[in-house]
Amino acid sequence: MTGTVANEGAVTATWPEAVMPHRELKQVLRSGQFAVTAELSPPDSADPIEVYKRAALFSGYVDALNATDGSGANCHMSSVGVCALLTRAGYSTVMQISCRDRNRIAIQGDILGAAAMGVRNILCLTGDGVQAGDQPDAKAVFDFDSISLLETVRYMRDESRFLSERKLSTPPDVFTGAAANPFSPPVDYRPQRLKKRLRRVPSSYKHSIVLICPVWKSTCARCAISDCTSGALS
Amino acid sequence: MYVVRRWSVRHSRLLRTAYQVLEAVLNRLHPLWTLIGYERVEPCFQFVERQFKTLLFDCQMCGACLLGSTGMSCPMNCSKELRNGPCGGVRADGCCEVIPDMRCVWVDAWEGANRMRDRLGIQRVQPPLANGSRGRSSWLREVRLKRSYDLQPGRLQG
Repeated sequence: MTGTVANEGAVTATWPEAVMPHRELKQVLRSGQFAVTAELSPPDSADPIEVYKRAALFSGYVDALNATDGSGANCHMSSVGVCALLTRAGYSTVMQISCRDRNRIAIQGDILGAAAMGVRNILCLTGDGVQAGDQPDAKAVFDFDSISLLETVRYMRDESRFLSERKLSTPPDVFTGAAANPFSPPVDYRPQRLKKRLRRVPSSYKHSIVLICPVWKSTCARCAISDCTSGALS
Repeated sequence: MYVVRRWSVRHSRLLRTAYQVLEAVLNRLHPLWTLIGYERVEPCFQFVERQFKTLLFDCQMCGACLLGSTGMSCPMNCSKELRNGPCGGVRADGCCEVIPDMRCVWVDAWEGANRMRDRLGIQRVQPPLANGSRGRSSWLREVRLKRSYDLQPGRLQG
């Protein structure tokens, strides 16, 4: 099966339909199974075919594809753009949102736009400092931090309102995720910080590599997480 | 000043107690602030608070002070201004990923918080900063909150 996409109304491209599992990432995680996601590095290009070529490598092997949001503070195709392209081809996507580049007005708009285009998973990240990238003179925004961003997505979804209390006619139906690094100082504070994220309905939490090691087990124990393995592997 | 900032974290318990005494005095003087007008007294508070807190904490005058929850280490000195804990990029030696010569303010905050009586503050989820409060006095804000005044400047008595 193939689909088509019109690029600026002139170039029409075709792509192979994705082979993805029938279950959403949320269902895989909630069922206690080990989920596999892969991080897709967005291209430095305006050509959708480059996105589909990269995604095709993972077709049939993953539960969802992560689209990074300016990873390493370097500019690439936007996370929302990549996710919109991939959902059209049938891929299950995780849109990453970093707090570095946009303020609360832009981010809330992107959440609605992404949900409207079929994105069902949002990973809330702090983001690398602008100094890490190739444009260190850029303004670092950090209007949110990852935890207040997570709270905002949940608020929009559960209360059907913007942070300003203005009503949404249709809330974004998204599954939220967070990242944690239990090995970074202050190590004793990390479980408490993870717990801040889990204080409401547990969503997913992601590690670049989930190792079932004593540190992670103890982190889970201190957050009262019973199943150490139900994180997302990317 | 960085050296004084580190001293403040080491003496977080003492400084917290000192602030609680100050807060009690300021609360008692509420009738006086009402008489003069909260908005009229605001610039004086801003000036005094800025002098003290810049010396002790390298205060950035965010107007919504969290020092009582963060072990007297100001989170606004974090290069990402994170108010809910450290990012995942803290170096193994406890220094900031953006400014390698500076200890992560949250590594200090955790140490400072463990020296204080109330250790629960650092676990609270903080809302995003109201950017309109930048530059305003947190001390006066606390008095006003205590008196259940609305935070909207237009609706303040003064």
